[in-house]
Amino acid sequence: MPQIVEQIEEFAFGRKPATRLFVGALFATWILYCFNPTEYRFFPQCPLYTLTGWQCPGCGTLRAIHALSHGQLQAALRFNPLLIIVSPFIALGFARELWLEARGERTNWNAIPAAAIWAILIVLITYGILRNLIPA
Amino acid sequence: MYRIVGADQKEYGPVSAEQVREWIAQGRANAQTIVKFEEGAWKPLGTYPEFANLFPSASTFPPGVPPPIGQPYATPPLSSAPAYGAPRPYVPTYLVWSILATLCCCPPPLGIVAIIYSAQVNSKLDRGDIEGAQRASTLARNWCIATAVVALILNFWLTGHYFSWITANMPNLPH
Repeated sequence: MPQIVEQIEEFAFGRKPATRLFVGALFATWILYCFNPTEYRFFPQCPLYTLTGWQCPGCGTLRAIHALSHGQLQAALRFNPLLIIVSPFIALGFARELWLEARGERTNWNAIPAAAIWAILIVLITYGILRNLIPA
Repeated sequence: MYRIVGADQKEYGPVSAEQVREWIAQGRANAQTIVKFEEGAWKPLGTYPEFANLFPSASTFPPGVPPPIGQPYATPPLSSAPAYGAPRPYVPTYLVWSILATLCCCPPPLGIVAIIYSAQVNSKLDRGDIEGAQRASTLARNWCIATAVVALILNFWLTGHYFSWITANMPNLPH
């Protein structure tokens, strides 16, 4: 019995953030599978879109995940194309991180070239601007 | 006799085992310092069994640097740079959280500031500016938290139906 308590403690407060994030993501996907964000109002709204009418780079993420969980790839691509395009890479990175954590290791984020982080930033900003200029 | 590579990437020696022990004691050489014994291969000092007992643990030993001034032989200079091969300290970048904050917690400009500080952590580490990297790391973390808090407040304020929804949309729930 105390072993279970220890395991729960390790999960909640231990140094395995990716494992925690993965369980959270699974739960969120299940909620999104059950409830369509366009029909239910308890999902968070994008403040930028509500205030200005402009779509931010993350707009459509929930609807895209809902569509994807129901196997509607084309609908998902319409809601948030960038998310769907990079999602295989996110999944691979997640799997790698979980594998490392299971062995007591972790990704050395300091080894990522600074240029790569700047590139991510530029891609996000460009995407945010382009999706408002090009009508879907 | 031993030859060692100093923090300035220059070769020093040959010196006796006694001298190497003194440099270790002074923190001028550490487990990561590259050393060659006689005609052997260049290896980290920590791998030599004759010095292994001088290091508490390869990972906890502070980055030290070579030798003293006024020796009869050439000695490596004092320097604030880490010893050759010494690992860089781990400074969290909070990159994943910054991106999540940008995507999930609009308004985007706040999350973007967090990504900029994330990038600065690695830029500064590349330049050897460890203190600056730690400052950027703290700022990245704080901007992530600030973005999440602002997004939460905006969400409750703008679409404040979280509680009224429960009563108003009840028939909407199970189909």
